[in-house]
Amino acid sequence: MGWLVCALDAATLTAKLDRDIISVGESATLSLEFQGGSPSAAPNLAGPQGLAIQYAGQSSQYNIVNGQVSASVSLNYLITAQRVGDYAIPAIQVQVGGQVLTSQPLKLRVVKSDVPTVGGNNSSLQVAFLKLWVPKNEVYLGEVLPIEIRLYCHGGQRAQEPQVQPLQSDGFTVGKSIPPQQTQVQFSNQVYNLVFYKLSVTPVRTGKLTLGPAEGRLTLLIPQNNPRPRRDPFDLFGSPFDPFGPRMEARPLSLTSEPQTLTVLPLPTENVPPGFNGAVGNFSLSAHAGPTNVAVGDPITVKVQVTGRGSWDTLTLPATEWGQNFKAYPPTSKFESNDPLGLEGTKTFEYVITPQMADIKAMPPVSFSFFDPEQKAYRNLQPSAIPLVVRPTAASTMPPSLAGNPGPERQNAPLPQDIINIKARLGMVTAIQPPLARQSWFIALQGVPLLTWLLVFGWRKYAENLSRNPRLRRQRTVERLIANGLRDLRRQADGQEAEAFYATVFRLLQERLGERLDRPASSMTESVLEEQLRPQGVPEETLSLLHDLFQRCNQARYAPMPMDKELRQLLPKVEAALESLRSLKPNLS
Amino acid sequence: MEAGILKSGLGLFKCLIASLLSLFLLPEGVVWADDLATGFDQANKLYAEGHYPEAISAYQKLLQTGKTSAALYYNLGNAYFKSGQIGRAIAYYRLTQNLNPRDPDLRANLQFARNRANAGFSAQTSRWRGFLQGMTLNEWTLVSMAFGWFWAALLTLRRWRDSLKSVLAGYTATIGIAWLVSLALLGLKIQAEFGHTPAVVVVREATVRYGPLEESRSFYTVLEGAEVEVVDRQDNWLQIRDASRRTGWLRRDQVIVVGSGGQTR
Repeated sequence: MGWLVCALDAATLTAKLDRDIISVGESATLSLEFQGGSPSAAPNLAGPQGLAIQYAGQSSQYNIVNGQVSASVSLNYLITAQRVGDYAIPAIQVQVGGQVLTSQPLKLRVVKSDVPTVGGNNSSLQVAFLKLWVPKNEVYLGEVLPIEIRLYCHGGQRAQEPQVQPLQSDGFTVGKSIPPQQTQVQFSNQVYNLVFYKLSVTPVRTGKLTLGPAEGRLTLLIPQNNPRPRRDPFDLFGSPFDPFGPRMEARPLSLTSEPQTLTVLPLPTENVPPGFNGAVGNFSLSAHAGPTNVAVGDPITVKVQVTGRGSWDTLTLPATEWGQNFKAYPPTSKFESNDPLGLEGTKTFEYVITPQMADIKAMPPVSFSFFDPEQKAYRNLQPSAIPLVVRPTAASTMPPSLAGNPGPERQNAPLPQDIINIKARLGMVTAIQPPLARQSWFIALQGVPLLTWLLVFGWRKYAENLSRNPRLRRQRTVERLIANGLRDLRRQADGQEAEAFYATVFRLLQERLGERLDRPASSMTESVLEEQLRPQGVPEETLSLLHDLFQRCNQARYAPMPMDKELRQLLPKVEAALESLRSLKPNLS
Repeated sequence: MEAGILKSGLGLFKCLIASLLSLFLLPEGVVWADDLATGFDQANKLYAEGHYPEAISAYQKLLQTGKTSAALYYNLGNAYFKSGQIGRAIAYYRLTQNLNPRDPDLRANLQFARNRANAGFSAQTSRWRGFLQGMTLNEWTLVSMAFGWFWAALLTLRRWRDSLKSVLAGYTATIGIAWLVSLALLGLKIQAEFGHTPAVVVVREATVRYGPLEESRSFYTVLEGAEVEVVDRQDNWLQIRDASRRTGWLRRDQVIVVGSGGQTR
């Protein structure tokens, strides 16, 4: 299907064919679509010899998009092929208003018809039949072939629900297909309704391969008695439920086409271009790069476009030898098609390369080779090299194969030809494990200095509090003295050291009393018991105990006895006395 | 007297740091080194004789003990390179880089292998990143730890003795700032290491797909030696991002992950 546009101010003319390949006797519809204006009358078209062009009528269409109304008018012409051949429908000039709009020429190919003769013995063949149409029977391996499955139904026969099954295609890969289209064709004064399915196939092995047969079905509507002619001659597939028509019987009909035998030729093995990687079709190549004035290491985007017709899925460019002068990233590709079957279009390959040297004058050439089945020969496309200007940078003076900061002697050294040899010594051995920063024990270990600081901080606080409180300090000192003193008493009792024993008892009592009463320890005597303790309500029992101890100490001091067996028995009394004094409230005066 | 305490305190701290470094950086088991050294020498002998596949097997056997060294990874990279497995050579050079990034032999061999692979690696890296790559993650961790402990020790000394406060004020401030800076650098290093999981393609050609399935449509092809970044994982597939920032899925067995800590596939 070809269409081209010529625009002049607001009015546009679009010429298109609904089919660009038809058989002899078939018809294609040429539509001249006008937008923004329409001619006052349909122009008379005279086609080349072999084509009969007949005006078929006019149609209008209105579109409302975002509140904008646009109207188009189509003038339709039926082109009937009378002879096999390739035809060029010339440019059509039409006057619209005061302007002349001109379309570009179109191409129509007419091939030999393989429609069976109407009026044969098989009545169903007269009514409906299925054809598998291929443009040619000899193809090359990898060549994409557009084919059609055509379902014909006699114009006088009502039918509905035409459908075809997936095509049997052993040895082929089936490409895209487009939704079925519908038209009318004329053979020998007989009109047929045609539903055709377009798709593409590609042979994947050589030899004689069979395509199809195609299978389809439709439902014939057979009138039961006195059938009335159709009310609408253009009602191709009417409804059995027409309340004003005769009663219809729906009769399903299965159709099978003849298979097509294709000879798949291998690609020639002679004169195969070095970079050929299997592309078959007809292509052109263009290459663009930008920016072309860069510094060493700056990226350059290279776009290579392959345009034409062929098989695109497997089409790739051969690897370009970028060499040491460029670093290249793997390319990305994008395909855009203006063809419903995806046979024609443009595939764009985009590379990003970075020059590594400052003396590069041009990009390495990009080439593409393919096999042209029409010319039956290989072709190699290589656009001219793209010139580049590469400016040096400070880093570009370093040889690219040496990283880091080599010494002065390395800057002038030739490029290495091989890797540096292995290490002779095993060196430091570590376990294969996550790094320290991810190991919980290591993270926990970082709490040690904090803990240490907290401990020191706490200790200093304690020391400072202690220094600000002399009573507390004395209290702590006395506690230590009494603890040590009691240990001494036990030892002295065991050793029967009566003099030392009683001296220690006396000292401990003095210290405890002095601390409690906030008086010098040396000033503590027995008289303190009556003067200080009794008024404070110290229990009589405690006072008696203390008196007893003091008197024993005095006696030991002034009338010592060489042996005293009561020392051990006295020890609990001393402890009890000291403990009872501890519970005495300190004198805060 | 304060000067004497300070001197002894600093001396003690130096000993502490030296001990920490010895504890974490020196062989974790000197006993192991002897066992590995014998196998290492045998593998080196195979390499010297040109029996590269056997040398590779011998080096890999050493790795299976769970211990490694920079020299072991390096030699394994060399053996793979000699065997023509450029992708694996680059992978093991990258693993060596995790342990000893400053080795000039390693940097030369890695660059040589990258040039040989010509898989599109960009040697351009920011100066900042290059600075961070100059030390391993463990080294950055220990430097930061040393500054931190030193600073904590100074604070503790100042707390312990008021007379040392003025003497140590300048040192404390300096070491404190140094610790904060080292901590920031460590954070950047951790982000660089753990925020990016590098991997190397080790098959001749790997097809990157749109999804983690064999049936997924092909996106593009990466060559052996291409260095990519792993962004996600699913079953046996890794989602990778290449130097052109294209994201797709590769089979796990087609790459070797070369993150920190000597991680391999």
